[in-house]
Amino acid sequence: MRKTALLIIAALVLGTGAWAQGGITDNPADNASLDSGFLRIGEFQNTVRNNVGASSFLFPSGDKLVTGLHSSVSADDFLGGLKPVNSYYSQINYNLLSYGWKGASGYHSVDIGARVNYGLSVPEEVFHVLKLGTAQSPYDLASLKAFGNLYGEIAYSYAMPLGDNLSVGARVKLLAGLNSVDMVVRKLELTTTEEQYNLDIDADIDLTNMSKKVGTDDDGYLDYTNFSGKGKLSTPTGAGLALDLGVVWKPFSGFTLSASAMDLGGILWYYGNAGKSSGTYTFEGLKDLTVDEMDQEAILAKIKAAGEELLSVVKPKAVERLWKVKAIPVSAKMKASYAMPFLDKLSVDFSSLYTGYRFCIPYWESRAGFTFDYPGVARLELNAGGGTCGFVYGINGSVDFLRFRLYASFENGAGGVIPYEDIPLKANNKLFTIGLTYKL
Amino acid sequence: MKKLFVLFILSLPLMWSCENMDYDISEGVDNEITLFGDQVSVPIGDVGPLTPKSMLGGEGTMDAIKDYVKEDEEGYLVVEDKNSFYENYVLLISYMLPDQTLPIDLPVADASGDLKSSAEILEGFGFTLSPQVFTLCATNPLTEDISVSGSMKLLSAPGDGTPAETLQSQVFSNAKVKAETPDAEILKMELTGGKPVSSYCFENTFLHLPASLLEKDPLSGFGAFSLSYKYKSYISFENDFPGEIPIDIDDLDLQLAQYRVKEVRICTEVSNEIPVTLELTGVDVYDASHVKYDDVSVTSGLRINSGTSGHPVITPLEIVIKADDGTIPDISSLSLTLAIKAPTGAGDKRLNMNQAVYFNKLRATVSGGITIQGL
Repeated sequence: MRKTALLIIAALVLGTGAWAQGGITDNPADNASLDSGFLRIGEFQNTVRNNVGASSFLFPSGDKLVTGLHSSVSADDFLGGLKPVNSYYSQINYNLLSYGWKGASGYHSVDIGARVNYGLSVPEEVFHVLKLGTAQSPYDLASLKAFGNLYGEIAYSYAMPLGDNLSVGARVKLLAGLNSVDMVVRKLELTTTEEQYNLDIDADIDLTNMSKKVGTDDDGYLDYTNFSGKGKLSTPTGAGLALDLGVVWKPFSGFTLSASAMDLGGILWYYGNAGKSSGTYTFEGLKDLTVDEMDQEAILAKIKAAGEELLSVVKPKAVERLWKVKAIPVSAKMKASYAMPFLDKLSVDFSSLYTGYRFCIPYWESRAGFTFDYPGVARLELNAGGGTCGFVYGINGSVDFLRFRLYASFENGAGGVIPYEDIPLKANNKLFTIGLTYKL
Repeated sequence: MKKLFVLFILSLPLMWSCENMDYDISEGVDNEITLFGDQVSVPIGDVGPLTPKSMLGGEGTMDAIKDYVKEDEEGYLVVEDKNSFYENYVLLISYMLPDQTLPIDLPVADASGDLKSSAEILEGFGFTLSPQVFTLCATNPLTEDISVSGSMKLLSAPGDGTPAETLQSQVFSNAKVKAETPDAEILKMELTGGKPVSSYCFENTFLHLPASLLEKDPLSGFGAFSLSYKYKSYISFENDFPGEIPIDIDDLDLQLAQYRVKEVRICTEVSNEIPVTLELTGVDVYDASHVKYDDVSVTSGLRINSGTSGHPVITPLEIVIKADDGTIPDISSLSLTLAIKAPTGAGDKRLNMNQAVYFNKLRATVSGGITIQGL
């Protein structure tokens, strides 16, 4: 008893235990095996993925820290630590309420929640230019992207067994787009020679808001210092639909294979403040600079004129309000578990995950682990593996107390963090989940 | 054993998310950065025109000659002289004639004199007077044509122990002067190359006047016959300017030290219409105390080839400012040594105030990075 209590306490202290029992981010077919209803409140999941860490940008030098652009840091050390596309991505899932009940032939559940996504992708070429200069032109900077969106979800799931060994499930999600900002760069090429710089750009900046309008200047460019109307974060500015599909197969005793495809769909956003940057800008120096004008004021005026010419290409020009369908991050998961014949409460797990984004590099990982499952008491899963962000490990589990189940999950990578800042030093996948379920 | 296992589980997140004190940013991060470590090229633009007018307008060696030269209506630099050597009123001539009903060949006294061409001064600066145009002009106040005959010689200045040399001579006969024409050009002599004209000489000159001078228009008697000359010489630069010209640029305030730049290469294509070859033979770099930097070198021996009006010659030019040891310091002044050489090749060598030098495709390449503090 004492040992069992110790394990329960350990799991609580760790904040682990993610047997989410059909959470909105899990395989919808998982619910088919449930034999009672449930009520879940306040599931919170925070995912942060970065394929480069702070140690790619900060370097200890003597008793101080310097940036990768410091002269004491070699180009190989700095640029060698970067990826072709350097991405940071964050997602917050908040499941306000879930309710599940067992029907005559399957299991039903509804979920209400919200999601926030935001991130940034910067191509290595940007740092290459800054560190080394312009000798290796041309540069393709099209992977420069920034995005953020907030949307609500109302989901209905249905899971049903098909025979003794197979279960299928589906989840339909109505998505209410609340706000979205999306910088999509289709083309951004910088060619630098001694004689000229050439910038070829084709990019959109899409900003939603029903009631708050970004003004335009006299030339029709978006003026972010000039707003009209009152913006309300909660006013829907888009609507969408997404579908989760899952299957769980138990071909023989002790072995479970599950697969799911999540978030197949998108949101039709209404971009009330849309802009487009398009065109080519060529800088061949300050033109028609006469000898008489070789004073600071005249040169500054020429530079200003050249800058304005550049801005006329780069600055987003307001376009008609438009509707655009944009996919939400889509995931595919697969997991295989095998319960040990000598101890059915211990299983060995293999899992893989792929998540595709429009706005940054895709994420994938594969893991192996094992799970201790003491039904009615606790469950603990440990795993480790690798993928886009290098080495990752995870601990998740749950504890049952009366009809309550507290579950949590923690995933992280190796490499340490910046002291007191919790900023990962290496590429990292960090995920934290916590939720509370009440079994009906 | 199971306790150990639990402890292992507990330590996992601490083990892989531990704080690495090497990355403690609470003390701040050194904000010095060095950009473009290999090299960065920046197009600067096109600069020009640099004209003789702008050069003559400034102070310096060229300023010394601007009092002797003029700019003609086409912009050419010229020296000019104009003088009348004969003038006689019709009424007076008519009064003196023994028989006014007959035509008369009126003798004109021989005339000679020196030209105010400032040739010696200009030659001292390496300029050549070429081509030289000497024009004989006559004024005829009558309502009838007249003609002029005679001979003229153009002479060079005598040298040390050598007499003046006749550069050109011409005999003219019955050169017509139309009625009521002031300063009609009746004879033009052009000398290309050679010595500058120093003096002139008119001999055996006659005005061939019609009979009854005042019969058709008595009022023309108040007018006067006159003979004059106009001398105009274009200035060209056909000999090397003697010596080298030091040009000091003292008002520079290039605070480059803070950027720790090792080398700056400035390239341009010089488009030159001026028929003069320019050579930068030396560049010295000085600090604020006007102490020469010995470890900062600037490319010298640069040459800008000569061109002609409307036919500029393009010369690629590359100037490298390099710190032989360390980085380029603050530069307060430059001392250039310029040699002006005769133009190369054939073609019009006249100097024109509108001939221009352009520095096209001016670009700078900085090697070794640019260090910035406080970004």
